[in-house]
Amino acid sequence: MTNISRRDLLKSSAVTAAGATAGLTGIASASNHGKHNHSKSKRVVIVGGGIGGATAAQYLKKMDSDIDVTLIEANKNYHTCFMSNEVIGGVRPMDSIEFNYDKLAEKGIKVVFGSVINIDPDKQRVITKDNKVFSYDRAIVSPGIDFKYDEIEGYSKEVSETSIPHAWKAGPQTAMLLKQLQEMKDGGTFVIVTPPNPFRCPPGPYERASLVAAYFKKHKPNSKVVILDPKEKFSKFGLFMDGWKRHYGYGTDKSIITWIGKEAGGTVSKVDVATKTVTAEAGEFKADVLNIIPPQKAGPIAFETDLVGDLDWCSVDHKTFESTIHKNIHVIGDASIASPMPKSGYSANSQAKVCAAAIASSLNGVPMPDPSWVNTCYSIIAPKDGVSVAMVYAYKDGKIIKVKGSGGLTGPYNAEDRKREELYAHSWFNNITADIFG
Amino acid sequence: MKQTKLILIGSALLASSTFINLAHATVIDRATILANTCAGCHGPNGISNGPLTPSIAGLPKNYISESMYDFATGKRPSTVMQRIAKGYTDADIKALSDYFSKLPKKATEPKKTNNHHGHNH
Repeated sequence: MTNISRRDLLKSSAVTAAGATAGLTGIASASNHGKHNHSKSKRVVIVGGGIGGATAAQYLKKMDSDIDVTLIEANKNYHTCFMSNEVIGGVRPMDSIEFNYDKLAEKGIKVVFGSVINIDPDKQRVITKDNKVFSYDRAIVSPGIDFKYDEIEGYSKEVSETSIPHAWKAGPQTAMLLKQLQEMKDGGTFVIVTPPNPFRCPPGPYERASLVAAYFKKHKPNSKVVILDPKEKFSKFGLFMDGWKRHYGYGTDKSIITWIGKEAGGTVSKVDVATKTVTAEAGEFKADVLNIIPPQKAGPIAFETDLVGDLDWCSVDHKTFESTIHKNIHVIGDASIASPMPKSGYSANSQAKVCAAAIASSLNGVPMPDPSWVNTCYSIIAPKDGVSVAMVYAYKDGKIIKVKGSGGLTGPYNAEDRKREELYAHSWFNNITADIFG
Repeated sequence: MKQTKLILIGSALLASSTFINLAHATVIDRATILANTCAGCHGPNGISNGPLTPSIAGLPKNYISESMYDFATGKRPSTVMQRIAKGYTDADIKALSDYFSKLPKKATEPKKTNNHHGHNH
């Protein structure tokens, strides 16, 4: 970035245009006549190229190609968390969940690979580790999640990278868990430690248990899955319980899956890394393969920029996703507090579009229509047994609300419908990733 | 881009405009906001990449609105759409039907979606 702001450049070019006698020569990028006296500068800097950030970049360009969109992301490739459980279950290749930013760059989005270390809300600029400075009129922060490793004694980032993966950010973590499960001997135990609410992808840990159980059933029939849970209920609870009974003998002494909820002592406080033994209220559990999904909070830059206040997540205006703490900074995706919307990929995608519309409207001085959101979360309980939870959201009295009568869960078991839902899940994956990275 | 409209300002306006001769106006309407939420399942611009969820771009307007009402009432069996279709007002359904009916179908026919028996998603 140069030190001369685009605003200054625009001013000088506008003066030049004014001096010219030719008719339609102006190249101003924003309307500056009429009653709205808004800025001509339309620079949006997006921090984080995950589901929220990449979607926002695409839709800002789509809504107004004159917006100068810069997307700053740490990694050249992105692995989606959604469908990574199919990779872990051995039924989907790793490269099918890997995406890059080539198409975004082709569409005129300035893709920058770097780590953002500071956002200055007063000077309205974003600074990366290698000291690049990006001035913005609006910033979108989509940092995803970070982990509270220290809430489980003995666990740490280092441990997660060397022996006990969380696999709750896809990529190398997914590959590590897959390898450990494939190398595990038959008769082994896979223990999943699940996080308390709120966390990314509420049905995700239970889908993971299901797909690993499906892998065991087929390849390692004497192996077990144990879920240690600090909650008494979870997303799609009834659907999973019913599915586990049908596919994995749940509730019998032959069950592949054991679920230990809060009341039964499922809350884990400690791990012995060397022996992969966790201490829960119910006692000690020794794993052959251990997966700890720690308690969560907003990604680091949200804390660095103080977008969180006293909370673990970022409070935002529900119509624009502008931070309630810092003006002109918007927060979307898992890091934002957008309840009743869950922290899901579809939510992040849907929020990014509303946020893009709010910013494009504002920068162009046109009114923002009432927003609308959708979330649909699919889970695969077993091959040919897909289920979902869906909801339509509206904006009312300053809040996101569930549209009454809409949404809900997949109904009672019906083989044909479940088969279709699995195919809809795969369609959803193909379409949402095309929407984000295509 | 569909949503971005370049408007040439007439010469009469030019006289009163200080120095902007070519103005750019961005229209973000409710139909666009609503339609954006469909892309996750039905694909960008209403064109699905399959294997099962159908494309909705370029379908007849009345067919889209009728489908939405029939999903909502259960007249047309479905798995997911019966839950989604109940989330919209008459005005929303009209806006969505109008929006998607005007989108171009893909030049080449998208993958067959195996949904020709009235049982849709």
